Amino acid sequence: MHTREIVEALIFSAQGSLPEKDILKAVPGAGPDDIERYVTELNRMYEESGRSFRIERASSGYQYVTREEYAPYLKALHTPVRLSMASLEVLAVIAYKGPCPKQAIDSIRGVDSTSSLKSLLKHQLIDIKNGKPLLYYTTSRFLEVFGLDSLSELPDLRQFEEVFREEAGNPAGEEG
Amino acid sequence: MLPAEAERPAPEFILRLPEFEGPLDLLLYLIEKNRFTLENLEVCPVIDQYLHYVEQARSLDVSLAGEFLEMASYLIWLKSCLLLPSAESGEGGEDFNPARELKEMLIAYRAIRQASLDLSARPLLMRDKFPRGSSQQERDVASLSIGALLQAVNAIRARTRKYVMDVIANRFDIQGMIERIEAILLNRRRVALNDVVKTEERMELVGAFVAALELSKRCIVRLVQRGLFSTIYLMRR
Repeated sequence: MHTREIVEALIFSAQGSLPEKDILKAVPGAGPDDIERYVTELNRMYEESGRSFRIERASSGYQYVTREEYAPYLKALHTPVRLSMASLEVLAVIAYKGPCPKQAIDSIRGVDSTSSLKSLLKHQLIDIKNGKPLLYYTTSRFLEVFGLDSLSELPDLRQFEEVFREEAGNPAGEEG
Repeated sequence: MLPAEAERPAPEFILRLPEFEGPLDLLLYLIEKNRFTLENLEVCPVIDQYLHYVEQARSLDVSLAGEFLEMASYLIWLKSCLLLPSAESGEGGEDFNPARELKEMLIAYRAIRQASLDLSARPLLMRDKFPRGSSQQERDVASLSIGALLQAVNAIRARTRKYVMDVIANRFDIQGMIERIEAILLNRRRVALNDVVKTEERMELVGAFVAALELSKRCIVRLVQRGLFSTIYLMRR
């Protein structure tokens, strides 16, 4: 029995993403780098043998997901996630600025975000931190769904701001 | 579909209005349509077009979110600031730059909009790739968040509220209450409102209060209260 196959069995048995720390606990002597190496090897084996799935790292854990080219077939079986443009905007504000109150979200978007917040709560992509005012933040489910290991993996928001400024042919921060 | 000219939007453009995520979205659309960039932005024509569209939408009875109108009034104020010679430009005038404030708002919003498009372009779980056990709908109670719990409580409240109202609606009867107060005041000169009710039920107290008002109107009793929140007395006239 190889440690690599033990890691495979652990991830295979998990429902949802299996936290890396749980794998480390179950496999004594292995470090995060080892786990990552095993997963890379496993994924190479799956790819070489033409499997329809691979192991993916998200939200500080690992899980099996199907390859994207199979999505059209899987959509017939499962209800795909659909987020409106408004919900995506609200989600982006919370991911970049959160934890933040509803008022901050509304003021950036210039519109009321109540219904989007409800829908995002229902999908468990965001949650509420108790306090006054209530603060919204993105959940580990959000990281899983968007394939992110942590929020720090998100591209810098300033990058998007600068694109806009550069279109104007003027470097950021300068005033005309 | 969209008309190329900026000045005269055809009605079908207006029907597209509700598709804008909000006033900032509409403003960005107008800026792009005019081929302005934020640095060479001429605010006044954009404001005029914004107001024109809002006006058209209203005349066509397209219901606009309040925020569109709020933005309209902000833009009218902004335009007046830009057209009038500034009185305060002497001292502290450097900070007062309403057009820049609008630009900053637009930059912040556009960055978020870009970020949301960027998020959406990622391969999404349950859209582009599926984890094991995707078809399982039930989730463990322990895995539910506070948000989900609050939503469930709200849903139950919303569902049960109606029945609660039905029960209470018949709980008090003002005519009966008036008769009860009249009976009490046959032997006594005054009675506290709290002593008229038999239970601690709030709705019964409301009934007694309405009855007391009615008796006061008919000049049968006088209502006396010494201070805010203190006992209300019914005095026989």
